[in-house]
This record gives sequence, structure tokens and C-alpha cells, in this order.
Amino acid sequence: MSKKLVENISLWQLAVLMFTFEIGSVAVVGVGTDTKQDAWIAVGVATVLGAGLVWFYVYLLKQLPGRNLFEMITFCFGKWLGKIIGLLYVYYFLYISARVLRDFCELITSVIFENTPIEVISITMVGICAYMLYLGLEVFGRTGEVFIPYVFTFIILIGLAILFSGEFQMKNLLPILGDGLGPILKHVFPRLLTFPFGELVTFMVIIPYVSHFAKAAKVSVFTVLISGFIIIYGTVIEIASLGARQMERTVFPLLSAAREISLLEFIERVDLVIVFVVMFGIITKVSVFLFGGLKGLEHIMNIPYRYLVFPVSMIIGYIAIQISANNAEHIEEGIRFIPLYMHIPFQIIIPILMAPLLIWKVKKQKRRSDANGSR
Amino acid sequence: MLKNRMIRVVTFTFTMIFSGLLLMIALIDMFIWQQSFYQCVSKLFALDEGANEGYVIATAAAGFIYSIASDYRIRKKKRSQQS
Amino acid sequence: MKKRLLFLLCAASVILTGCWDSIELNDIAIVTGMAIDPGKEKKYRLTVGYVNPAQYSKQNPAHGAPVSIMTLEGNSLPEISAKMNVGVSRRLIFSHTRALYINEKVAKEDGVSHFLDSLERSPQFRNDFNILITKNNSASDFAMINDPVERVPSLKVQKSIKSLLKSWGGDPRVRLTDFIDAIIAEGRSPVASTVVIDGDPEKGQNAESNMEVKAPARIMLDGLAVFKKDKLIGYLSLDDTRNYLWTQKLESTMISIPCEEDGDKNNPLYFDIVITNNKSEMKTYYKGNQPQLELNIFSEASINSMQCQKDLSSKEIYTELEKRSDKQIKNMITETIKKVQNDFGVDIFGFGEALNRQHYKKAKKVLGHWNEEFSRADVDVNVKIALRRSGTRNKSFISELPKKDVED
Repeated sequence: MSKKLVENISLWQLAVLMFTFEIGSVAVVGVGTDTKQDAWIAVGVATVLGAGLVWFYVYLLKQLPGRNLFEMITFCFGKWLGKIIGLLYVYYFLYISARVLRDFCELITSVIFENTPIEVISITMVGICAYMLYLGLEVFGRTGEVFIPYVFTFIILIGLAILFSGEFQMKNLLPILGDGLGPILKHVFPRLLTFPFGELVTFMVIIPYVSHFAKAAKVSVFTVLISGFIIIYGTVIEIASLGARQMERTVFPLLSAAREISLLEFIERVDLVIVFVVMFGIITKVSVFLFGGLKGLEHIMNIPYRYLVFPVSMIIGYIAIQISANNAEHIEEGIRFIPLYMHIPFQIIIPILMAPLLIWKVKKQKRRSDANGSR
Repeated sequence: MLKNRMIRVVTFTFTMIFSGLLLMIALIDMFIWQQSFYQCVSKLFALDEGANEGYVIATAAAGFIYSIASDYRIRKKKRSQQS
Repeated sequence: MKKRLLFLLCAASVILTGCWDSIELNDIAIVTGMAIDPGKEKKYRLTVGYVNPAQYSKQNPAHGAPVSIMTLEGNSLPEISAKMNVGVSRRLIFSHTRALYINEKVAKEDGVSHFLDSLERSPQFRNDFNILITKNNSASDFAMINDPVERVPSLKVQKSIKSLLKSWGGDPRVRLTDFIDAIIAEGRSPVASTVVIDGDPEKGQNAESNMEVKAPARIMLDGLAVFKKDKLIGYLSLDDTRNYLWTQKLESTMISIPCEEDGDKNNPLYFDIVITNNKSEMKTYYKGNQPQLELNIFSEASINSMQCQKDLSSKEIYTELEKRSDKQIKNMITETIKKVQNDFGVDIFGFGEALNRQHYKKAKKVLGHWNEEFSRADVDVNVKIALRRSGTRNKSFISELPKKDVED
């Protein structure tokens, strides 16, 4: 095979990608709506757990520096079983990227472009992602770098604008822990832990390409905490401005919250700003998942992933439409099936199964090389 | 033997991913909505579901053609390297 | 040599000036609407409405009527229009005509083909004006009704039709060539839109009427006029027009559908769906000796309002609502087709054309008397509505109310 192209991204780029990845989908569909006014507490709990999960992922990667998730899987499970598990991961990543894309398409067709066919939006969005990935991981990282200041300031400003336009009512947050901790913990596991945080398992494909790998663990845990904080911030905004009941009814809470803004009768109709944030978040998220899938295919099929970028992303555009017939079906599948039967095995069970195997094999290899060296 | 398998690798990957994901959607539908397998698969291929579905089908077909073309390109490159 | 060059230059100056039939801009009057009424002494009475350009000057608009009209009688349209200058100072230009109003009496008694020929033949008329049948009032009134927003009356009608097609669909989108094609076609009968005046036409003619908030008279679209060959035979209501359009090409429409089939009769609850994408397919065939009309409709829709207690975040509810909509729309369209079969007995839908495309040999035999075949045919309408999404809310807040409160 031809020499593999080595691509590197900086730590800052990794942090940026992780951050936009976290807030992208959350800004579309909102999290923790089932826990009503305690959603922000649930997000807080999930953030801490999520940070632990990410630390675990990076810990696994540290055992085999420079190898990504798929190479690690083959290392642990052997050639054939490894390939099969890797292929399952590929399907998982691609399916989730199609789901994320569909989330965004639903947002656009329900809120902004009501008469544009959803198919057209899906194709154009996936086209952007494909082009970005075709140019490579470095371009992807730099794109994130360019847009992150806007994304960050917009989110902060939206919150402040809601605060100053008088729609922010702290009493909506009360009563705190009215039903006790039980429902919150039930919601955190499995749904909240897996949906924004556990999905970071995809970054196991990207983190090995960070230039200062040694610091990756610190940076990623820190990023998760920061993005968790921003998600809490967004959730508090949603609850305080909409109220828990209305938030439960809305399909896209943050967008509805932004529609409440009317500052000095001058700054109004800022919901398009949210759409911008969401759009960038979704592009990042779809691209990261797509990249994960493509890297897996590269490893399994032994072919540079650039050949596969366009064909596979076009499949994603098709699958995003085919995935469900209507919005209700899409959301219901996302609640009832995906967390329990897809996220948990791929995000938690397989990595945990892999950990002892990995440590044992690495030790064995080391011992053998030590023995060879001493001879 | 190995060379033969290498030749169509992009197209093979395309079909594998495409059919795999469709199968996955059908299986998930089957699991959640308690429908029969036949029902779910026929739902996937019902062409009149959405008059605009032609757009995405055309894109997927374009992806297929692209994958064949890139296979051809890979083969050509390899041949020129060998000679 | 020099002489020759001089001659050439002189000749060029004569030839190259061009524009033999040039007309200066301030010598023309642009006609926007034409109205055809039955004449008292001669065959037709033609009224033309042409714009008053001084009204549209940006710097200092004159305060006068935005359009001016002129009426003459004659036996044919070209004759009358050429003679119009007995009263009009400028030459009339017809290429920007926006609406052709035809008095229902003309359409009923004489038929429309006599003057449609001259319109089709004339190089000035384009195929972009609406053919409108006027009910009750004389057609000339329609060319004069002012509208405060669109100052040219005929332009108002055309824009309103355009907007209606986008939002609800109540116009058969018939243009001159479609109309003529349908007259001569064996498998299709022509239709045209109808308009009525709502209010007092006398008051609506004044330019001052634009000052009033509630316009004293308004031109309103009022459904379909059904023709047999070129003679008007009857009318269909606006709702039937939408259903008619559903069989042809519907851009978008909004329907309210009762939530339950036999719910509370006094206080029925509805949900609204907006159709965003529509595909319809006609099939005509013979089962033995009995003609069968089959219409397959597939539409994508989203939910726009919800009056009943349904949780729109579950898929089962979507499926249930889809079934309700299927049934309702199927009944609506079947009713319209049956009404046309029984009341008029002419095929305005184009089922005959479908037969001609699908079963050419059979069509050759029956198309001669297709209207009789059409009126005895069996109708089978299949509707499939796919509800896709429900705006920015899933559950309605109504569904949060305790059940008893709603029932009381």
C-alpha cells in the first residue's frame, strides 16, 4: 500500500472540534427535557460522568500511542474478529452521522425553509462535509478554528440578550430537585450520558493525530467540562425563558428561546444566529462521525480514505432521508432505541471489554521486547 | 487472487456500506415498530414515498458511479506503476 | 473614388437608421385588461383598460384615475380594437394584456371560439394572460374596479391568482393555448376561472375608492367555469376547483380535517395539514365494457394546527392522522369527479387523454364519444398522505389540559 498520509491537528484545534461537536446537536434538539426544570442538574451530573468517560478513552489510547480506535481493536481482538468489530463501529458511526444530519434537516425545513424539499438540504449539507473531509483533517481543524469565536460569542450573547430582554425568569427553575434525585439519575443513564458525551468515542479516531499527544488527555477532559458548562448555560436559558412545560413541547428549544429575544425593540429576530451556531455544530458533528467511519473503512479495506469520501457521504445523504418517514418516528427512535441498543454497547461495553485485553497484550509485548533486548 | 479482490475495492465498499445501512434501518424499524421484515424492506424501496426522493436517489447513484470511476483510476495507476 | 464614398455614406445614413415602424413611447397606451360583453347593436362590445402613465411618475404623480377605459361595439375584436382610436389618443399596445374578462352570456350563447382565433393569430398577444369568466355583472365593470394596493385592476387579478395558487390553489392555471388545446382535444374539456364583484361596482370605479380602508368593491375569484367545446355549461365552486387542481398539478394547499369521524357534531375538532409536495397520476382503462378512472395521489404534508388532544411526538398518532387525511381527501376528490360526471358530463380532468396515452387502440374507438363514456365510468381515487413534521412544537398545549376540561 502507498505510504499513509500523516495528518496532524493541534491541541487547540482538537479542543475546538470537541466543543462544537458537543454543542451542535444539543443546540438543535435540547437535552434533558424529560427532567423538566432540573434538566440543568442532570446535564451537570452527566458532564462529570462524561469527563470521566473521555478520560477513560484517552487512557486506552495512551496504551498504544499513535494508533486509532480501529487499529487498537485489531490489536486486541486479532485480525478477523477485529475487522468484524471494526466494521460494526463503521456502521455505527455512519448511521449516527445520518441521524445527526436528519436532525438538522428537520430543523431547517420546519423553521426556516418551509417549502424547500428536505432532500436538497440534506445533499448540500453532506456535500460541504464531504468536501471538507476530502481536503483532510487539517483543513477540518482549521475550519473549526475560524468559526469558533463566532459560535462561542453568539451563544453567550444569546443568553445575555434573553436576560436583558426580561424573558429570563429565575422562578421557572424552581422547585429544585422537586422529585428528588431518582428521575434525574434515571435520565442521565443511559440517555444523557450517551447522547452528547458518550458520542465522543468517535474522537478515539481523531485524538491519535494530535501533535502533542501527551497533553491530549488533559485538554479533552477540560474541553468536555467547558462544553458541559455551556450546555448547562443553554439549558438554563431554555428553562428560564420558556418554562419547563413549554420546553417539553417544543421540538427545538434553544431556537424557540431565541425567538423570545426583543432587546430595546431593536435587536429582534435573532433566531437565525442560533441557526448559524447549529449549522456549524452539525457540520462538525456529521464530519467527525463521517471521518470516524471513513478511517475505519481505510483500516479495514486497506485503501486511502480519500477515495471513499464522496461515495460514502452520498450514501449518508440518502440514508438521512430514508432513516424515518416523519419527524415523530425519527425522534421516537432516537429516544427508545438508539441510546440503549446502540450507544451503550459501542460507547461503554466494548471499550470496557477491550481495556483489560489491551493492557494485558501491551504488557506481553513489552515483556517480549525486553526479553529480546536483554538477550 | 489478492489482486482480483483489490480491483473493485471502492465499489465493493460502496455496496457494502449502502446495503448494510439500509438493512440496519430496516432491522431497527422492525425492532421498534414490531413490523415484519418484509414490511420494513418494502417501505425502504417504495419509490413514491416523497416525490422529491429522486434527488437523493440520484445523488446515491452518482456516488456509485464515482466509486466505479475511482476504482478504474486506482487500477490504471497500479498498472502504470507495475510497468 | 471620393464621390463613390460620399454616395455610400449617404446611402448608409438612409438605410441604417432603421426602425421603420417605430413608435415613440409617449404615443402608445398599454392595455392591461380587455372585457368582452354582448353588444346591443353589433355582435360584441369590447372594453379596454389602459394605464395612465402620468400616475406612475416617481417625481410628481398626477392625481387621477390609474387606468382609463374605452368601450366600442363591433362584430370582431380586431375591428373594434383598430377603431378604438375614435376615442383614445394613443395607439393601443396589447402585448401586456393581463386579463381577458368574458361575460358569461357571451360564453354561453355565442361560444368563445369566434374571438379566441383572433387572439391566437395576433402577434401582439402573448400566452400569459388569464382568461376569466365574469358572473352577474357585465364584464366591462371588472376592468374598472380599483384596488388600493395594485393600482392596475387587471394586474391585481393576475397577482391574486398567482398568490392563491401558491397558498391554496383555486385557479386551474389555464392560459390561451391550454384553453384552445382543450377545446379541440377529444379527451379533455376546457375550464376557466370565474370572477365576481363583491360590493358595489359603481363605487369601486372611483379613484377615490382607494382612499377607503374597506374597498367598496373587490374582484374575487369564484371557482371554475366548465365548458363543453367552446360553450359555457356550468360552474364549480372554489372548493371543487381545489379538488380539480389536485387531479392536475397542485402546488400547495391547506385543509382542515376533523379529528374523529363521528365526533361531536355541534363542536367538531379539526387539525390542519398543509400540502407541500404533490404528485398525481391518472390511469384510465376498460374493465370489459366499463370504463374505469383511476387517480393515484401522493402528497407530502406537515401539520399546521391541532385542536384535539393528540400527542404529536408519537408515531402511532401520525399514522392515525395520515389515515384520517387519506379518507377525507379521497372523499372530497371523488365527490368532485362524480359531480362533474353527473351535472355536466364533460371530462375536464383529462382522463381521455390519459386513455389515449395508455391504451391507444381502445382510445381510438371511444374518444369520439368520450364524454358519454366518461359520465358512466367508475371512479377510483387512491390517496396517500405522508405527514412529515409538525412545526416547532410537537405536543399541542391542548393535550396538556386535563381531559375533563376540554370535554366540558
